[in-house]
Amino acid sequence: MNTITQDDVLKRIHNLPSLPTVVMELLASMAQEDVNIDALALKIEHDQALTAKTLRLANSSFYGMAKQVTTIHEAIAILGFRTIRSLATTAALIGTFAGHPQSSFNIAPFWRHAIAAGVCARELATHLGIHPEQAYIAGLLHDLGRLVLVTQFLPQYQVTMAYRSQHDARLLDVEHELLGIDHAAVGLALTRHWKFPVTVQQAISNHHATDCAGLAPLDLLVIGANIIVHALDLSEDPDDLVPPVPTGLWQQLGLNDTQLLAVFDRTENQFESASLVITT
Amino acid sequence: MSATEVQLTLAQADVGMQLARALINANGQVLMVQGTVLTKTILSTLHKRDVTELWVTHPAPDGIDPDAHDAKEIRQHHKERLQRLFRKTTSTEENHFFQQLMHRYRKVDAS
Repeated sequence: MNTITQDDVLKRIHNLPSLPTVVMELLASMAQEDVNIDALALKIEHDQALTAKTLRLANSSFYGMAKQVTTIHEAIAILGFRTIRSLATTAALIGTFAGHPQSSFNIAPFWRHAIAAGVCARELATHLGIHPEQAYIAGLLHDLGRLVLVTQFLPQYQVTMAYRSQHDARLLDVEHELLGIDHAAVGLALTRHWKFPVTVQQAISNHHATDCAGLAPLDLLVIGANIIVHALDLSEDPDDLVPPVPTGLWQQLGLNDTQLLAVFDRTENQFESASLVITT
Repeated sequence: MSATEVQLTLAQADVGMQLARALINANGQVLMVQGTVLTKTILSTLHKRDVTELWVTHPAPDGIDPDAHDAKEIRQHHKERLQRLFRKTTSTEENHFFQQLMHRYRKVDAS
């Protein structure tokens, strides 16, 4: 089978639809100190589909609001700009890949895992002094490279998935062996192309690192979130495997048993409501 | 009613059952989507939200009988899933710590 080069990836990434301009601006605003919230809110409202989806999420039980919100401005007033920015970004990203033929690739477990990782990353962030919204986005997007592979390199990826299933092997190992590239590297290429914050790019690139030395706090957090949600079985993939824990992870995250158990519990508790994004 | 659905009071619902229909509150908000597998935490949340009835699949997925209220069966299910999820895990210190902790969380022994 032909392997996939970085150049192949870069060429195919251009085939993907662009993210809505407003989402690019929302992502860029994560790295900015001064954000014009009113202007961004107006831009979201100009995208009717995005507004509808964002409001539906904001009105879900996850946020427990006493009354329904009907405008983006109202949602921001109640839930805050950062939460609405996360919701709009999530809705837009899921929409970007919704129309692609994925053949035998089951998209629902993919998004269940992605959203679970986002929720868990947000939980870990509160312990580690990292902004919860950035943690959520990095967790949500950590496997984005898989969607590029499945939508842009479908024949090769189908062989990869079949091999993985047949040999009960780890996906990352099979990607290296058969494709010559892995989904973390592809995710990095995509998020660079889409000009995501550099910290998020790095976290996606490093989420399967085998050693924690030299990694940024957000990288560690996404590695931890990914491992935890695999073990919590939230994707409901019968053939799922818990990834190996890199050397020094728990020590560097600095969480004790009790704190980790609380993270497991809150992740499970919040996940079902958060995953409404898949079905709404 | 579909032959694969059964309506229960919240008191009859148990961990491991799967919702056959979405749970919607009086304001039309979806509280839980169809297919949600009930956990102890979810049941506690539903009590707090004054949910009184719900529809579950019958029989429940993964071989869990919704009529079986035996926590031992649930623990056995968790144990088997953990064994499967960790089937390729090597015995490093970090892996061992995490595996033990996850078993503790699920209240099952790791043997």
